[in-house]
Amino acid sequence: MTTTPDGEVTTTSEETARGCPVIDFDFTVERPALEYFTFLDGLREEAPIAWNTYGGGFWMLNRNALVGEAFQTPEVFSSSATVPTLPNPDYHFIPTMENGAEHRKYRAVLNPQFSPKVVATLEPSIRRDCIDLIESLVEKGSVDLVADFAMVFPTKVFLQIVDLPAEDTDTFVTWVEDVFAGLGNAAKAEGMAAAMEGIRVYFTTFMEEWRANPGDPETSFFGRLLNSNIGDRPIRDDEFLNMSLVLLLAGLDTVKSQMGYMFYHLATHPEDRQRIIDEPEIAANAVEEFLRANAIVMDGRKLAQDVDFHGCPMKKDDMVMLTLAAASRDTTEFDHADQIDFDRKAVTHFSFGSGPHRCLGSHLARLELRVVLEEWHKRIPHYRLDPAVAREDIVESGPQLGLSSLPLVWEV
Amino acid sequence: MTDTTDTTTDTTEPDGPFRVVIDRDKCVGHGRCYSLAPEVYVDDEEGFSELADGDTPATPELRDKARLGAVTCPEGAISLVPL
Ligand code: SF4
Repeated sequence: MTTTPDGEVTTTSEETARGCPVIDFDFTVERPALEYFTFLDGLREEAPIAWNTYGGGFWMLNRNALVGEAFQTPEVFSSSATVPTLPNPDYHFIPTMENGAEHRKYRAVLNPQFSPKVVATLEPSIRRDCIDLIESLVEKGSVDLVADFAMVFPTKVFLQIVDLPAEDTDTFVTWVEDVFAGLGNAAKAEGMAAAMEGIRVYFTTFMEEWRANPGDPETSFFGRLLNSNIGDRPIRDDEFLNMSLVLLLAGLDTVKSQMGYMFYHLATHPEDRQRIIDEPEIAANAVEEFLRANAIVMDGRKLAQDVDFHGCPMKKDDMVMLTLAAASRDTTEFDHADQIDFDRKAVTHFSFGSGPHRCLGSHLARLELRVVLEEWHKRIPHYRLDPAVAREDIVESGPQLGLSSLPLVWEV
Repeated sequence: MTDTTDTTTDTTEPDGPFRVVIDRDKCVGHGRCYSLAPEVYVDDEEGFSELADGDTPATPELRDKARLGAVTCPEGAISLVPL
């Protein structure tokens, strides 16, 4: 049984899981940029559904329609565990890992705070943060886009939305990186636990201060959350702390990773970059294409019951990866699916998930990415990969796909 | 299991006049419909979709907009029902 980076999957009859292809594929290894996408393109064509023996073993759904079906059948594909290699996590994220009516109660509190209308009111301040950060880089002429910009900007946006001091940016950046490094990677579990504890203590202190000296609940994000009702009862302290952690984790690393791929593409495709410079009005559609062509989240679900899923007999408690990176480049769904095409007509993609757990921050993420495209190219229109760094040293890894660094240079 | 092709048949595009129906149980607030076709769809307080102005688009332009919203909804929550 072999799997190769260029997407070849070979199986023999005894290597099929209950009739479906088996692979052994580790998502945590660093590979040159975009290799995971190419590999997953190949896998999707050969195996719409595969069993991956990596970790504890999990199913992979690799076609768009299969992923959509799983998202939209939450009574079968439950969210009680959402990292494919962690079927029995020792944490419980709210609302991420809630299901059904309980989940709906939490979302009813959170959705209005992240609705498109509310997010739109934040645009001026998000744009200001973005401009300030870019202007601090212009004169440098070189940057690690990932560490110096893509991680910092969403953190600043987050702190501003939730009214926490901007000086805490660096602390949050480190915590979030440690948590993500530990998700699905046992070797880094300790650092993850320490970071989660740090975040918990931070928010506990905040909560106690707020309770002792409540501000106006209408003007502060966490004030509103602390004052909210879950169904017909007030929110509990543990729920507040849990949700605060989840909001933090969900909003930062994802935007960072997406931005890394966006700039990698633009640095290596000057003609596309020129279009962003010349026609900034295409930015919103360009963002949609970046989200589709480089979907970074490898969402997981846990089987709530036995099911025969398109010929693969899945068992209760099996884990399933919804391989968005493969699904959103599905050749049966999209023309020239592996190409980024700013003129592509509006399409349906699942990069923000689907079904009841649809990404809460999707409207905010779209806004952040669009503002970055617009403002960056007004100030630093021309840039390229640092020629001093070999192409194969620009690497990515999963499980949530992202570039480790992206060295860019420009003339000053 | 349900067949995902159902969602595409939900959003088949009638040539003649039609009524727009939003399935509020399926809508989860992606906001594709009201971002791309605000003439037909608007968002409520939670970001879920509502009809801007009656369920029967009167002009060909509005019908095109209604179709755009329907085909881009990741949930297949919008159906166009021929009159
Ligand atoms: S696109 Fe679909 S899910 Fe999103 S708001 Fe419109 S109807 Fe709802």
